[in-house]
Amino acid sequence: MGGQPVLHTVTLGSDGGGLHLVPCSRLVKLANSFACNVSIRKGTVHADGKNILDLMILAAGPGEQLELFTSGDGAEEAMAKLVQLFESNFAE
Amino acid sequence: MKLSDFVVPDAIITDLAVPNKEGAIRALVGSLKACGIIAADSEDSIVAAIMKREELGSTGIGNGVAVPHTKHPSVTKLVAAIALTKQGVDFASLDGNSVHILFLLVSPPDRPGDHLRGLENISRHLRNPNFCSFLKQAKTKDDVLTLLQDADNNQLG
Repeated sequence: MGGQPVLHTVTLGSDGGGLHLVPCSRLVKLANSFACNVSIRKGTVHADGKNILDLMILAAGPGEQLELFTSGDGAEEAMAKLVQLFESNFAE
Repeated sequence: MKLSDFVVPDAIITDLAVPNKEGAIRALVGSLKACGIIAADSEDSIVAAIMKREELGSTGIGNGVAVPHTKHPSVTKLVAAIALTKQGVDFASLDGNSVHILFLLVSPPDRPGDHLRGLENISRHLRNPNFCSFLKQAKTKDDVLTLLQDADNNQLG
């Protein structure tokens, strides 16, 4: 059954390279391992967290803030894993 | 930022025929060298840096497209070469399909924002099915340049 929608704000590490292709690939891989919807917002730009081209269009640089939103089955678990990935600075 | 700001017109290959990923990367870097964008003595080091980057995760992003790239001090601004290949190249892509369109980017190490904006620009156009379809059909360098110009002017629908 669908979980509660979850919203979380994250800040990209200031010492990383921002949301370039490697972090985007890892993010998409993780997002696609969950059934729930994953979306990411930077300012007024929304991206489907399961679509790499969408994510790269955010062009999110080091230190920038993003809003993560998950909804549907496993939304809470997906959010926990997503936040963990951001907090690890994508293991860069 | 527009495609014409960083795609080098003389570094467009429309009939790439190579056996593998390294061959494709070598051909693209070679095209940048041939038109004087990168120094001859930087060629091997750029190819090695791009291959090392590929080890972190393939830049084959699916739908027949790859965006191999690296930062390298031999360039002072973001530059890109394009290759099209009918036979396809195995890039260990996210979707497992072979690659037919390659955008190779080299950017200066001290300007990470340019790299992100270049990727953003390419991604925005690749989301347009017309752009990918027309690019795969392009036969000459001029076909590709016209298409890039149309994309920059948002004339592809």
